[in-house]
Amino acid sequence: MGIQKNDILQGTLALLVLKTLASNKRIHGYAITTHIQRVSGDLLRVEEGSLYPALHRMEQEGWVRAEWGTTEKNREARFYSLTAKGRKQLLAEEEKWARLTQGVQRVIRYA
Amino acid sequence: MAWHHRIRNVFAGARSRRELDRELAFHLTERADELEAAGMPRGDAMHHARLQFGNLTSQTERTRDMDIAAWLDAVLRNFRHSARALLKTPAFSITVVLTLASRSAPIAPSSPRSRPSSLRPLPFPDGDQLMDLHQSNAKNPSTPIAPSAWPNGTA
Repeated sequence: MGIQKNDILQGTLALLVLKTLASNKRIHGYAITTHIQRVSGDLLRVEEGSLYPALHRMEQEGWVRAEWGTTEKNREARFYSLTAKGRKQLLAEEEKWARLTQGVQRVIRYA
Repeated sequence: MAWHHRIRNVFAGARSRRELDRELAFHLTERADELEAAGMPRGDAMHHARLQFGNLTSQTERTRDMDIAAWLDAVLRNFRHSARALLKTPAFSITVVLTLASRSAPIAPSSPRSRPSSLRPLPFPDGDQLMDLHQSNAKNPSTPIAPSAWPNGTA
């Protein structure tokens, strides 16, 4: 089975993870990757290895909180949830993304 | 990056390292489950999950560097903050420093050398060879399974 790489643009990973946490109260790393892949209709695939450095950085920044818990399959996993600071950061990241895409659009359309 | 590694080795507890290993192992197991459910033999599924994850060791290191770098940032921030606060109130700072110096100066020489009892072996036969034995779960070493119990004192 071929793994098609569609690496997520540097910097957008934080936005995608924060957004995922905003719609899932408590979610572990693996579920974050499957959520992003599913919701994007398989257009996006989180490079799995880069997810954890990003998650841990966000935890240190105070955007997310992490705690150990048990999954339905009775496995120990580290669950992440969004903090108030993370919610604010999400708004900032969304705005940044909107500006970026708007700028790129303008350049593309310029004839 | 090298200084990160050094600082990490000095300060980072084994506990957070184990937790990270557990977190990443969970990810790989879940991925392998998914591949297995799609019809891949278990052995191949685990192998594939690892391939898909990328270089596990370097990702673990990168994640730990994130933890340490952020931790160090926080320490430096606190340090700068305290230094600024102390400089803003020099009279107070000098009083504190002098008070601490005058109180701790007489205490300093009275530590271990003048209290040799703390270095003497415990009052048991072969007191310097006493051991404490533990049994713990490899997956969760902070939780003891059974307390040490050697009624005869022999092994």
